Amino acid sequence: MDMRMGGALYEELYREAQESHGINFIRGKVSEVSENINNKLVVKVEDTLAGRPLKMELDLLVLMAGMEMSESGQKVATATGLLTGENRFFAPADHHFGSNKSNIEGVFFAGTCTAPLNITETISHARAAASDVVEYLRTRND
Amino acid sequence: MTDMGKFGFTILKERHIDYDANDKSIAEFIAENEPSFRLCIECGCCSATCTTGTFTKFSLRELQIFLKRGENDYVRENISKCMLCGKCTLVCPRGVNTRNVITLAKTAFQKTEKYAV
Repeated sequence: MDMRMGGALYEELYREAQESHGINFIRGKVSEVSENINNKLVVKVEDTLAGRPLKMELDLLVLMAGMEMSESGQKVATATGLLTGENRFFAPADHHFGSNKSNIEGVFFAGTCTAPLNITETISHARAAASDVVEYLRTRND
Repeated sequence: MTDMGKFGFTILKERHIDYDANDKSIAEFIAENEPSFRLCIECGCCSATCTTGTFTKFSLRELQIFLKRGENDYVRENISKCMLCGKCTLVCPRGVNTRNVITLAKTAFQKTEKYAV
């Protein structure tokens, strides 16, 4: 529950993880992570589906943090006057029809400098940027 | 009940689910014999349609979660409330054979000396 996969074949991946690899997904709110006497990580969570607190020993804990634009990206923005948006990434001219174009002529965006993207989206975005650059050069030569 | 009872005090049962200490052999037995058990996403469709659930506190969703966490005592106490009508199996969006899960859980409890009635 509460796991809804966005994108092609991700739902199948979720199913495969459960079915073939026996992965057990537990929904919960982490309250504390500490080290026990065996130098292992102990995570305490509120198991929101069972409605009770739960504790377990872990070999590996991966924390998922939100993505933000790199510091150097921010420096580029202030140095060149490229606009940043509400999400503090570079703001494209238009999110739907001009996601590669910037507010400066001849400067194009590609990849995760405008928003968090997965690899597939990044590749598509980069190809779109290349095509925009070609179009831009062609119009300048005319 | 200890002598503490005489003074109006009892020792509360630990509410924490100790995931590592809990016995998950029942859940493993079910998953081996009914692999669809692993596919449960705890949506609660089974409980919503359950006739027993309408009249009692019985919730199959809760039992499936507790089975996976190894809280077997609670499951063993409640599982016999199920009338095996199988409506839960019909509505399950993930195609879990819930009816078989219940019968297998009962079998597993009978097999395991610790839980056998």
